Amino acid sequence: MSYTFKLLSIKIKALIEENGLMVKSVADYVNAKPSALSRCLKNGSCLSMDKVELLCNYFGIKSIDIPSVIKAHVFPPKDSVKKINEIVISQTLESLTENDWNIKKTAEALGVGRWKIYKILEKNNIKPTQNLRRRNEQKRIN
Amino acid sequence: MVEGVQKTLAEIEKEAIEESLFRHDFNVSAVIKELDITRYYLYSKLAKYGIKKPKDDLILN
Repeated sequence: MSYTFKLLSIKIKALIEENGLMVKSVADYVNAKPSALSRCLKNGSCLSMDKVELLCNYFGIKSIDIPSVIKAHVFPPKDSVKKINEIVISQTLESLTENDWNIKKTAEALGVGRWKIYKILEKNNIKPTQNLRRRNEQKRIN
Repeated sequence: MVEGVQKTLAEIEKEAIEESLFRHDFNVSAVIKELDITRYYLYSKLAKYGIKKPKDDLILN
């Protein structure tokens, strides 16, 4: 996997073409001359960080595509960084709620086996039975 | 930009690890402390997801 700026330029160029955008409109957005932007994207190594940040925001480019030099600028340190475990639990619970506590659907949505969901719930002392009971009661009321 | 479909746990995990790595300029000790994971776990995930330290390009203003 490479994070070179050249790749980012190629991605931006492709996005401009895919979305049928004019280089001029993109250049206007980042406050640059169209010819300068074209040249920069072609060379892949002569944009200021502010402009790269604007371009990334404009195209919704994810963190994975951005080199570390720019990354620190685009993704400043967060005040409250979640631990991996916390992220996994919150995402699992969110997905379970979305899928009405259907373990099979949740597992499919999260790309894991059902056992993994049970393991996460068990590890964090979350009992699916209580939630299922609540779900069934709600169904009965409705 | 249109948001994609729901991410899988693996994608979420990969993203969290990558962002932490970049935040700490690939300082593994800082990352394991921040994410509360073991060194072994981190290295196994780096291998699994193919995450490597990038070569920084020169960016001129």
